[in-house]
Amino acid sequence: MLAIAPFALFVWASRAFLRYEAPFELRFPWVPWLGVEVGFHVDALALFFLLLITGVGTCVFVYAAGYLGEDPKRRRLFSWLVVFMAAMIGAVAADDLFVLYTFWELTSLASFMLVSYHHESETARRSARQAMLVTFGGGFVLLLGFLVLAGLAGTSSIQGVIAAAPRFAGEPAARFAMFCLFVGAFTKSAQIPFHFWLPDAMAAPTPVSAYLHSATMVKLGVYLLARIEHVFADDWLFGPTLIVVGGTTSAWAMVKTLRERDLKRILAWATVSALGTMMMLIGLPGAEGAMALVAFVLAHALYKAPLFFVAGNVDHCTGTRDIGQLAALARVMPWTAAAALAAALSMGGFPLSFGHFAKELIHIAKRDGDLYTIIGYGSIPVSAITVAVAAIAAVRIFWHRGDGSIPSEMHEAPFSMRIPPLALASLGVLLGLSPHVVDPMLQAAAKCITPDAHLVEIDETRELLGLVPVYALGVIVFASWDRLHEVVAKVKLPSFLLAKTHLEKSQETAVHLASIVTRTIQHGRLRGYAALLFSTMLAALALTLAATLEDGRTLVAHARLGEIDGARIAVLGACVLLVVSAIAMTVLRDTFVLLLVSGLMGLGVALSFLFAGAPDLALTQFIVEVALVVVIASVLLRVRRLGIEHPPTPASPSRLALSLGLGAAVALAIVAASGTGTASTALAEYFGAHSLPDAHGRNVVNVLLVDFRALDTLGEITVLSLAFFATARVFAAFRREEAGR
Amino acid sequence: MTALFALAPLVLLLVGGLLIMLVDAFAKERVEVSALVSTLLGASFVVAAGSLLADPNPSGLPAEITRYLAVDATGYFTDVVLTVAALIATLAAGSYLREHELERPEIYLLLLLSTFGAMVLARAADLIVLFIGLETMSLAVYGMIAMRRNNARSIEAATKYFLLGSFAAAIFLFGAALLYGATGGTSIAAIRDAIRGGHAEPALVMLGLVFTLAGFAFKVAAAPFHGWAPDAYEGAMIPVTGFMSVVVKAAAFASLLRVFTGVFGDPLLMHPTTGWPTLVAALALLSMLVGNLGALGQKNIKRILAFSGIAHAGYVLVGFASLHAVPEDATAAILYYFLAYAGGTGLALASLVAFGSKGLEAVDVDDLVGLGKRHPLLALPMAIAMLSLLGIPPTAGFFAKLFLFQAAAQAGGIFAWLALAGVALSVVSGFYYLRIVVALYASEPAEGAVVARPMRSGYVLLAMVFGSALVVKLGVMPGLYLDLALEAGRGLFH
Repeated sequence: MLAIAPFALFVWASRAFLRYEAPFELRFPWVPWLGVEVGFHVDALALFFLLLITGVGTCVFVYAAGYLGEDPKRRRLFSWLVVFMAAMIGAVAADDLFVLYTFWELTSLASFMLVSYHHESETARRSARQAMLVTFGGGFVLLLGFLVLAGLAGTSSIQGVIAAAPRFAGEPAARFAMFCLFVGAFTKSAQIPFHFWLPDAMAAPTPVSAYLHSATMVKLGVYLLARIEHVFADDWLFGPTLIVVGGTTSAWAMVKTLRERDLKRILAWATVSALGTMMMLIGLPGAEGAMALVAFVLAHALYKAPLFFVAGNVDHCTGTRDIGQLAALARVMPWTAAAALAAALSMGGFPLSFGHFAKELIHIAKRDGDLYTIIGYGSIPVSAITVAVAAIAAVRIFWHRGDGSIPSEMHEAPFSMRIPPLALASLGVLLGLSPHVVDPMLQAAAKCITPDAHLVEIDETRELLGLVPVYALGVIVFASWDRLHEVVAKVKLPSFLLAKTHLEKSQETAVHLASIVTRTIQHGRLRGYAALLFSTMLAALALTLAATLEDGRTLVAHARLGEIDGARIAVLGACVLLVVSAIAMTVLRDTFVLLLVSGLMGLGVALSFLFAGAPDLALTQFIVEVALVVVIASVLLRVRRLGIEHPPTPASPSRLALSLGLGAAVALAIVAASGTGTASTALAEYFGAHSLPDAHGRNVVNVLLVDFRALDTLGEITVLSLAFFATARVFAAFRREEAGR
Repeated sequence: MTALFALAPLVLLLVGGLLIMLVDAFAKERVEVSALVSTLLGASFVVAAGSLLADPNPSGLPAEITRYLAVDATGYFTDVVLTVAALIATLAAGSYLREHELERPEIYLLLLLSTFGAMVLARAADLIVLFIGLETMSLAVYGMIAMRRNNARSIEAATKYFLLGSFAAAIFLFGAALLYGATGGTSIAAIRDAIRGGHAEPALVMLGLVFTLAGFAFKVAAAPFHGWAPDAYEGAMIPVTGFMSVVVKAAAFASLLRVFTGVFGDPLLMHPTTGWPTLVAALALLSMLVGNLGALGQKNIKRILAFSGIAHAGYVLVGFASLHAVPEDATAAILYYFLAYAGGTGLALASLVAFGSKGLEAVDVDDLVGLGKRHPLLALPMAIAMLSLLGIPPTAGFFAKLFLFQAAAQAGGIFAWLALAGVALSVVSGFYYLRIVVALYASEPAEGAVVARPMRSGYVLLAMVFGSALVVKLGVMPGLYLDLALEAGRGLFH
């Protein structure tokens, strides 16, 4: 039932394609401040991908209905599949870099949720984790590239960026953006060195593998680079980078297929290889590359998705995907065998299949330009292994007589699992019979990549001759697969060559580094935190003082010491008392003595107030100090009786230096500040002049408190009494609590 | 009277809080304080949001008010952020305290008063008012952390935070005193005018700047003034952690914004190479490094969020460092970031509350293993919060980070490199945010492991729905909020 939605979209997209004349756009503002709008620009390339997404989507939904059966979690899988499809549609239709990025990440998220579907198995979980890290990490780099690109072009619209490209071509920032985009695309499309997540993602249910990890999502990177090829085409690094990375991936992935026995993983590596070929096609110069790319994308979707379905059917019916145990299945699964055969024809590029048509175009694209002839020869073994893989999927497990280890009570897959692979695969063959049906579509799409893309005449005989070595080699590989497998599987690559180990190692290193950071600065010791706080302050102060050294000198020169008189000498004495007791506090160890000395410090402060002309303040300070000492002493006595006292740790030289330094810096600042006194004395003069005549009081402070600022005092008293009541209530609560025990 | 109405979000909290205190003290039956307090915060939020939409810059207010408390769009915007965060924390506390039998009405009242102090701090136009706001907010938070009196971690956390916080407050106060000494004024406008007029000793102003910056850096937990944060966040109860990680940080940042664009907005002090942007850039880089690296090795989610909070303080400081080049854009980006951060972090901690029950809290990443399978809907907000904190669209965090880094990129020079470092370290942050998502959805508990049993409680569900809606709305349709942030940012440069 759910398949109706993608099918309706598919019909709509086909209609739109048939009537296609010019791209249509849809825009509405999103973040006007940044000029970001939800813009969609649906041209032939976008429509082509839309057809792919909805067409394969229809088959996947039908297939999934049968595959999941009465699985209790099927609702979750379907809802994420819908989310994924919507995100894919959004991503290929988007005309804004940030909108594209949003959908791009949404597909990663959907992929994560879908891969972790079989959460019972440890491998499924690990692969989901890995895929998520790789794709989200690549996504961030991509975003960075988009940011730079949008900044260069002054717009975030893709069409706008393409139009503005000549303006910033050749700038280093543009090249930086290009490499950011490469990283993003390579992570998504599983290119070396980010390729390892894709085969591991095969832990996902089959419909997911067929849809996300072969037909659509992994092609997003290809789509992105094809879409913005114009912007960077003039950079001499663009093509070669893609050819090297794509070519290496394509070849390496094929070697890796030989190491596998799991049918699904074999297909996954073949997908990685195909994606590498696509990357290479984008990098190739000339107009033929675009045409070949589009044709190959279509062909790949038409044969790889059905092959995944086939693998799913085989797994569903036999319970294994190990090609060593599978043989002669055609008898029990004729429908599936037929689909596999049709798909394999296309994959192998046999004549009269659509895969053949695509392969010819690829060969023509590669032939263009002498420099790339080598690539052409290099691709022969790759194609040969592709042929072998196709043969394994179609011939070996279905027709080859094996050891007969399969259980006898096997049956064909249900109807809904037979139709989708058959439909897609036969479409691949039918289109191969008359590729001219889709020609206009392919050309229109290719024109969006390179404006001068056109269909090239294919020289059939030459092409067929060129295929002979491929098939010869392919048959050899197929025949000796088991032996090759044994040899290749034995070869253990040194781990430093494996990208996966580097990812894991970098995780370990990061965690290790983090634990060092945490241990050194996050040790949980209060004293250490305080030391860090104060030493930072000291450093900042020293820096500031040094930076303003010239001013600093004048500052200290400004300081007014005034005339030496009795009062000043007394203040100085009080200060000496302060300094001496402060230093004493850093070396003393007995808590009681420490307390008394701290009282002395308070006394020093009070004395300095007294002689500086503020007797009332001095009195207050004195009372507070005495009260504090008495209260703390009584607490200390209790603590002593309980015997839980910690002796203070002895002063360390570093701490002493820190205190002295900070004290000196602060003192310097105060001296400096005292030199620039701009405080107004207007208030003091006013109160001095008015307290006796207006309020009839000789004590200015008293008059101030109860007369001039009487309301303030009232407020203060109110607050104090409120606090008293609150405290009383808290104590009452304590007492109740204790009585309750 | 107009002043009272203009300051209604604050007045509501203060008067309402005192009334609730009285009702609770004298009522015969047990009062549902959590409901009352959340209603009050909700009302304050609605009033603040309404003012922001209707009349963000009221005129004709008496100077006796505006000299001390700014009444402008920025103020309303920060009110909205603070009430949102406080509301989520209160709702979470309503469930948490009851479920774990820690119910004490004082916590809600402290939370209310602390929010009030935070609002005063965020609006302060005078250094003395600023200090009063700062201490009102902080003292209440110290009390809230220490509320679990029989828990050693709680007491340790509160003691550490209190002592270091007092040092930091003293440092700030000393800076303010130096500024007063240099200019003879305490109000931001007076100090600014004295500096602009050339009546202030530059070296003293510089010293004052360094001291005040250090004080703020402590409150927002920017490295290297961050030491207290992981311990304090871990020791506090989860709702309190949520409260302090957002409210304290946002209020201190808002105040920093006022002080640094006001007092130190002088072109000479703001010079990109010799002025404070370099200092702030250093703080930003250090915070992003320490926060993101520190979080990697943590298992406790509260600690992860503490380090993540340090990293986010770093991101916001990137915005501060770019204020000199694009003042309005950077201010808007900073304000918007508050909202996104409040939503993300609040939501994460509310979810964490919801995951525990009956004295068993879910605090470690391992406790969350497989929760997404057993309770898919309940686990979703946590996943959304993590994606938002990481900055994945379509969530609030994506645009927040985008705007900030965009502003830094426009500032150019070392600030563009700072943005680059921010993006790179965001990738690192993926390791720990996604680890939580993976634990929820892609892991299975080991045999016999204790699995988290979520509580059933309406309050925290409400908080999660509210938070999720906010985070998703900010990510899908950021237009309105961004316009409001821009408007609020312009208010500062009138």
